[in-house]
Amino acid sequence: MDNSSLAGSLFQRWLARNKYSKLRSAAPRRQGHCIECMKHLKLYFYLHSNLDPLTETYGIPFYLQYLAHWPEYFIVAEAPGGELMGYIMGKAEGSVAREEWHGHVTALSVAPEFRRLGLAAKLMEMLEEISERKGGFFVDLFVRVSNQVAVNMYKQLGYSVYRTVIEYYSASNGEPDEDAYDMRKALSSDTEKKSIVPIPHPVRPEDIE
Amino acid sequence: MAARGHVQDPNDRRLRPIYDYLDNGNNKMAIQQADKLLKKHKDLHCAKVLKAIGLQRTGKQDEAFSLAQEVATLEPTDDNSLQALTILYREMHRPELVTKLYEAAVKKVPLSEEYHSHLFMAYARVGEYKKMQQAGMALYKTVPKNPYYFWSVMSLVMQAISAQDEKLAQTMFLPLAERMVEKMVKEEKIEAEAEVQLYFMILERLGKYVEALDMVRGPLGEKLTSELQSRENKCMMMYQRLQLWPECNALSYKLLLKNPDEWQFYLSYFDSLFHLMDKSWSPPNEEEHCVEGPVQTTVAEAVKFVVDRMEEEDKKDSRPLRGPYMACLELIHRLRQRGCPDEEELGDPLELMLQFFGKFGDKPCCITDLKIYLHLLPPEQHTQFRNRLGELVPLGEVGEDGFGFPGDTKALQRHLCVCQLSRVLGLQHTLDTEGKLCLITELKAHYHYGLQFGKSCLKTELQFSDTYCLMVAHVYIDLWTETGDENMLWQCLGVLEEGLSYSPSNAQFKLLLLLLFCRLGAFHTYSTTP
Repeated sequence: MDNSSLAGSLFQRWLARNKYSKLRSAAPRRQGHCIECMKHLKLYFYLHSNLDPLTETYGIPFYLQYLAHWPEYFIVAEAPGGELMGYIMGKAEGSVAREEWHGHVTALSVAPEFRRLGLAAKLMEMLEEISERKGGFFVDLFVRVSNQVAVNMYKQLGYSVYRTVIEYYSASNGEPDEDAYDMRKALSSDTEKKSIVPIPHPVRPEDIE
Repeated sequence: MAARGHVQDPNDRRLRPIYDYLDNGNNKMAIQQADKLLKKHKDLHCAKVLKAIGLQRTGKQDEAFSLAQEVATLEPTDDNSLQALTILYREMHRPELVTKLYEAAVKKVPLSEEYHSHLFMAYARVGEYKKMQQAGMALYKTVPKNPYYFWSVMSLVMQAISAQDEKLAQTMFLPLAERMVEKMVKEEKIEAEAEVQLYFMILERLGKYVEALDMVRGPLGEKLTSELQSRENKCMMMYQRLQLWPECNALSYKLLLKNPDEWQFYLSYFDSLFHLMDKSWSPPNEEEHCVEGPVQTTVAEAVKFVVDRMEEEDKKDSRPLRGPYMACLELIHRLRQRGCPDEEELGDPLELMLQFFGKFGDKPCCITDLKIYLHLLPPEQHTQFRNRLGELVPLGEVGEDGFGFPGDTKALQRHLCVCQLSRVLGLQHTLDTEGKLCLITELKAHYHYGLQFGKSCLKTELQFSDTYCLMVAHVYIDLWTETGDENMLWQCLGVLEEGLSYSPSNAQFKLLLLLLFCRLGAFHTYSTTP
């Protein structure tokens, strides 16, 4: 994991310096490396946590990217018997100059057998702590507008709706795309709590940075 | 880096529309535009490559490849062509061709930081660690930035990890990597946290745990800030490898005081304490037991520690943590293993588990937690345990069908936990056929009663009483296995289908149905299960 974080941070810098904006590559990652790394991932994702219908399951490269770039944000909770209780994945991004440098919650999932223990709150607290250490101004996340259980949970943790993003979640089975709430919580660097002042009108996914 | 200067601008303008077409998936137009451009400027290499990309994306692999090779053989050094060729080769899954590309570019423009970086990345894609090491150093010599140096170090570590001969890793690659990092340390050039992490990784792989520990505890370790508890976790790992039990114990103790729910530290606390006892270790002086602080070496201290933690949880107004209570059961288990009579000071496991159930019985994880320690109960106590637990479940008045039901979801969860424990203890399996059928009737009644609590559940949520349904299914399977009566299996399928109708997202219902249908040879039935 140490090796990949070095690779990650340097790779990130290399990526930033390269103008791949001209041409988006359609090539998938080489599978060989992914499979080798998978052994070490212990296939956490295909357990009860991800069988939950509201937990998105991404491709292996997606998870590996997060492990490579932001390993400190990738936290897994294990029960004494060895079962996966839940996990959180996140990242840090945004312009420091524009006071938009922030922590972002990419995925949070708790297996049904381990709910109502305050685990989600604990994982969120850890992500917020890491974001504070990095000097982030706020933490944000996207959540389906229909996922009332999650929206209420985040509200209780101190998050508020910053804006609505139209058709953020694309449906796979012919159903219409779903809107998302972009919810935010200010961190201590944002002394005037500017980052959480809500935007009155909804935005489209293309308009998000 | 001059290559991307104003000289390129007119070409950029001309190429822009082709890029846009390709990005939008309009390969035909991209090819057309490229051809138009090439008629006027037949040596515009980048246009050829972009055309090749278009061809490749429309399935004309061979044509695309030969067109690309036309450009590649000329060994281009303009940014546009190189990047476009890189993308083309990656889409063709020919990453090794990218290395050749940049090898040539670097020969022609040896001072290009950009091309050296690309070359390094090209080698990384094909896993050529030795070449990565060399490319990294070449890059560093061109532009002495720390990351490039450490890319080279990292490549050495990768060579060590992938070496067929472990000796080579230990005697050549890792020591060389270590020396490279030491040089930077001596010259006080260490900058990034990642560099410290890499250093730690090298020392760990060399088995130089003392050096690794000193490094983490020293000034370099202060850079380890990204990950929570990074320094403590690394120290703990080294203490365990070096079997420094006093330090291991003291650190576990400290970390548990801060966070009484971190299970791994209860384990390390107990492990280290018993190791110290076995060695009859005593602290060298009273003021300072070790660098990490006070050390505990007696069973009495361990008992007191656990009891204190439980009392802290008992006193809390807020949500109690399960850690301390489970630690108590764990300690009893360990003392019992060692034949130590002091386990009695912690109490009777049965009473402790009843207390645990009292506190946490309404949580779904109660069964998962208690399962681990059920072996502490002798078989003679199993039925008594189940009955005592039953007394702690608030059920309503017994109705016509002979059952009393829970008044809310918490009571339901408690009742469910008792049922599950009963199964784990084997009490369901000892019932005869009639007994099992009665059990099924009871569980079904509870299942149907419990559905009322889930009336407002969304279809992405599970019903509160789903586990009753699952248990009914399993008892039917028990019956089918024992008696061979296929009717049991059909009943089981019916029950699961019913469960699914109320709880369409329940993955366990679906998995069990899939399993059973396969056993019946009905492979196609569930091919459309989402």
